[in-house]
Amino acid sequence: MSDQLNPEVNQTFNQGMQPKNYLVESILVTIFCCLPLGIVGIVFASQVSTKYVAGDYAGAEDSSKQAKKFMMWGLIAGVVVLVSYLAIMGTTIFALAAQQ
Amino acid sequence: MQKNYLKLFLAFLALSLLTYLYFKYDPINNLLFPKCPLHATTGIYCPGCGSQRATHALLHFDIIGVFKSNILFLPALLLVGYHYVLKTMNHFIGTTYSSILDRPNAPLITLAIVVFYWIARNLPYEVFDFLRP
Repeated sequence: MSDQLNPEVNQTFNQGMQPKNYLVESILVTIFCCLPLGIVGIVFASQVSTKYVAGDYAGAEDSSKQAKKFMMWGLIAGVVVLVSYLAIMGTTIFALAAQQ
Repeated sequence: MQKNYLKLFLAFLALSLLTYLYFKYDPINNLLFPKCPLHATTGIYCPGCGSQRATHALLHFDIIGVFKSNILFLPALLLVGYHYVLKTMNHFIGTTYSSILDRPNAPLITLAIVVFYWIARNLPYEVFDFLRP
């Protein structure tokens, strides 16, 4: 926690490794969640390595967090839409079938 | 540790149920499955449009149907599968393969492909019909 408050320490700490870019997860969200949020995730994923190569470690870290955020929102939205839709429609179809 | 296994089990259960539903029912013209909210509201095909139909087709080994629904679906799935197979091998048997998706320019190339695909499948010309679900 104290590392995050001190940007200098945070920067040296992060210089060793490129932050995770969540590319694979974003691709999966793009394919399966039918919402363009996965594409926003891919945009931020591409910023991670661009900024990292340019030496902007704090920026790369920030893009990594953004990529994760949009990927997660896409995933959550996709799952919520699919599950609630299946539940509502499933119940309706079942109820209609039971009536006949 | 116990909690992780529970999560894994629940995810497996949910995936099995979805696999069964997508195998049994054709998402096209079936009320059970949601329509893409973006396409329903704007009429735009996003790069993921057709994935439900592609999933159904793939579960029936209808490869042509998969490509007709979403031409990038199978390549993307194979790519992600290859990535996770390498990662799993590295984790469990100690190999040190690096996946092409870990290369620095992988995100930019992916983005370029996805954006071009997105534009192309929405162009109002007959030549691009094969890109539409």
